[in-house]
Amino acid sequence: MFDLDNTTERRHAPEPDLVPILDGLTSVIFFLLLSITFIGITKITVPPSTVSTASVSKDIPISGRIVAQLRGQTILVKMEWIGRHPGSFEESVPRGDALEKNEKLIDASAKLAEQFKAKFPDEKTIQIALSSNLNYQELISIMDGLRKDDRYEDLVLSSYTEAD
Amino acid sequence: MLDFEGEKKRSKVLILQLAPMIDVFVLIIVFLIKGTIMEETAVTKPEGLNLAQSVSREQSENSPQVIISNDKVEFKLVDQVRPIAEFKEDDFNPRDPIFKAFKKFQEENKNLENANHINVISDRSTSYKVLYNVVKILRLSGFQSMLFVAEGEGQ
Repeated sequence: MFDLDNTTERRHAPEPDLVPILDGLTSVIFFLLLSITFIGITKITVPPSTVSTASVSKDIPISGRIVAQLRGQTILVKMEWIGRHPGSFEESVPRGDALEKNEKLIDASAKLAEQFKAKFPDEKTIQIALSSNLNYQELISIMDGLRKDDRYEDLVLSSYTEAD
Repeated sequence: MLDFEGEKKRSKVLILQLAPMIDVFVLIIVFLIKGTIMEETAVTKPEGLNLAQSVSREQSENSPQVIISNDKVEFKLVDQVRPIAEFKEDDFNPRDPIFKAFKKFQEENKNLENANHINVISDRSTSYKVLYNVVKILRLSGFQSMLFVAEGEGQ
């Protein structure tokens, strides 16, 4: 028969409450994710440098320059250079609305930059000279064309007297 | 007599524990707030100025500003305003006190990042002549690079 007067002692096994443990783990994971920084470790092997005698360069600098001139309602854009074999590329673009972004001017500048880059791949700098009657919008359009596809990042402004 | 053979089926009611849910939400909100980047706009478009349009997607930098409008040139970095007529010819006085002001600005801010870069904010109709003359003065004063600000297509 069952003894109902004396209650049998039962061992209460402690049950871990999982919820706060999961909370804590989640916050630790979040901290780790936010504080992780991924660094790429690269190795550069530097071979011994070769010795060479220095000599004065006899090469004439290329000095690539883009010149834009207003001829009536047309903008003449010329990419010219000096060096041993001076030369130039030219494009003509209708001016249109002088105060609006000129897509044709951007495309013409990009085309000239592409041609110049193909001819002189080592040149990193281009000078820009606009005539005094062209405006800031047109300068920006030409710069956009030259910087297209990251061809030329270093652009140097030249005086308007060289274009006038 | 108690019946121990058959078990009474009790339906367990799921109790929603709000405390851990609130904990997690608070943590998520704290992380979101910490991750928010709040920056001041690098360039504020001046009123009445029509910026040039560009296809560039580059963000502007937080650098000293020069604003060229239709009638004046504001050198914000040294708090000076000059009429645009002074820049229509290439005859700016080399003894002008503005050069001293530029030098003082550079000395005071030599440890500041981007202090040698200038944001040139110009109206789109500004002639290249005026723009070049302004930029020339800044370059002669020792500022290394000019950042021409335009309205781009953004990122």
